[in-house]
Amino acid sequence: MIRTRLLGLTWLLGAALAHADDGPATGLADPAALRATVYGTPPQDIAPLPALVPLQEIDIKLPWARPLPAVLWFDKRLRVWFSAQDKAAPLAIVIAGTGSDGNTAKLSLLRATLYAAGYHVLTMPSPTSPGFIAAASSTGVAGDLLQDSRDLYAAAAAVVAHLPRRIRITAVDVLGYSLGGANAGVMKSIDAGEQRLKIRRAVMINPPVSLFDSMNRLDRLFSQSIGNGAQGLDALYRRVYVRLANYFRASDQVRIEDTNLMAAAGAVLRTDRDFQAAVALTFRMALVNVFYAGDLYAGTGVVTDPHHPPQPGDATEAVAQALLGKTFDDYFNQVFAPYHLRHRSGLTRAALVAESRLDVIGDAVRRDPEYYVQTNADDLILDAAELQWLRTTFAGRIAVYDHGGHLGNLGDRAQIADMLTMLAGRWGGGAP
Amino acid sequence: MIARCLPLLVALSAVALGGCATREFSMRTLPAETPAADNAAAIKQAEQLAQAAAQR
Repeated sequence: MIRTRLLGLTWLLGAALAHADDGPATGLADPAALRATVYGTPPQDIAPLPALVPLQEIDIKLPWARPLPAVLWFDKRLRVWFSAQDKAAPLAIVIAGTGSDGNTAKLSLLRATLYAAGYHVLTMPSPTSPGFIAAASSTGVAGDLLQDSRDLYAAAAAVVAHLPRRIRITAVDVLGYSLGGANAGVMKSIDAGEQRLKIRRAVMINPPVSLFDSMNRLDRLFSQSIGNGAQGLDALYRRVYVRLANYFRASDQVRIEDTNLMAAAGAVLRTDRDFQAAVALTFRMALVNVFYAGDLYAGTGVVTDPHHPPQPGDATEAVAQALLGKTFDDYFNQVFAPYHLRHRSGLTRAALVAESRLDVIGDAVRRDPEYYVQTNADDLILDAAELQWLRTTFAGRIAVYDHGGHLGNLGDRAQIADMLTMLAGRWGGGAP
Repeated sequence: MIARCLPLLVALSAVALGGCATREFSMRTLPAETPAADNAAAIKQAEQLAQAAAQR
């Protein structure tokens, strides 16, 4: 029952949240930031797009992936997407945000603008997506910024090495949005030592500064706007469902298509609390997958039995119920930290948290001028101190837009023009 | 003649469609994306929604 209801609710809010990937802080109390995060860039403000973008789907088996649990049998190979120019061109590697695969609407938008600007484009999933965890993670326990980015870097290098010879690459740039932005920056810093891709520039779009601080804010947002676990979700479902039913009755529509759903979502999300709930729920749904896979791989036994691992076809009702009540804090304390503390001697919890801050690449950023950031003054995943850290660390290499919440201006004319200017190495430094 | 050429044609088609394919790595061509037309449709729909809202 909960699963069916959740599916419907996620479907509805997911449609509205096609533009949100990561979650909250400074702009949490800001109605405009919340709405921008949920609705994204209006289509009339989107940058010019090309008529056609060729697309290929690539599946690759990676030798370092952990043995695949039986229940994840369908994710043996990593799937990425590639658009090739028919002439020699730079390659842009684009990393998705939290929990997302390598072909989201946001990636499609970035792919189109980058392809139109003359890049080969390789779009890759987030290391927190189920497909990546199963096919490319060396631990199966996602959330470690350094390790996840190492896996991502190795996967990108393997894909590039396998591309047909007719694809001529003149340079490699890396970019990403939300958590993928942080991954992109760390990939460049790894490459400075390994030199397998010779990454020229990195552009981080709305990156978090501290993964775990952002997670804690998301937990608070969830409990404030929805309540606790399955009961809170049930109440939210009832609240939204009644409005949704009334909307369809009043508009005399019964067609449930994506576009109508967007209109419906726009009609039923009314208050700031509704929008906060939509943002919080999107991230919580991403956590469900990360938590499940992490518990399975780490053998921590929180929602799965390590002695009797789940099999394809097993009922998932009880596990789904249990996962709905789990917070990011639970993931850190029950799965992530126990796994890493057990596998890395001398590690402390404090060190683990510190390693997942963007300032792990602080020195690299100060040494190398080819790291760039785009963010918003009202980004939900940053607090004032974190925004200031970005302004200071990336001084002269950062664009801070007044409005947009979290990714709510992705694809608009100014964001795309600045991104391409940064990638071309012509950024003169906007207002810090 | 056709029967003799058939295996060759099949092999050539497989190479053209599949690019390079091994158990470790495969590429598959998808229909090209049409972002300009998709966004134009989204703009049109947004205008229709705005008109409908104004008439309510």
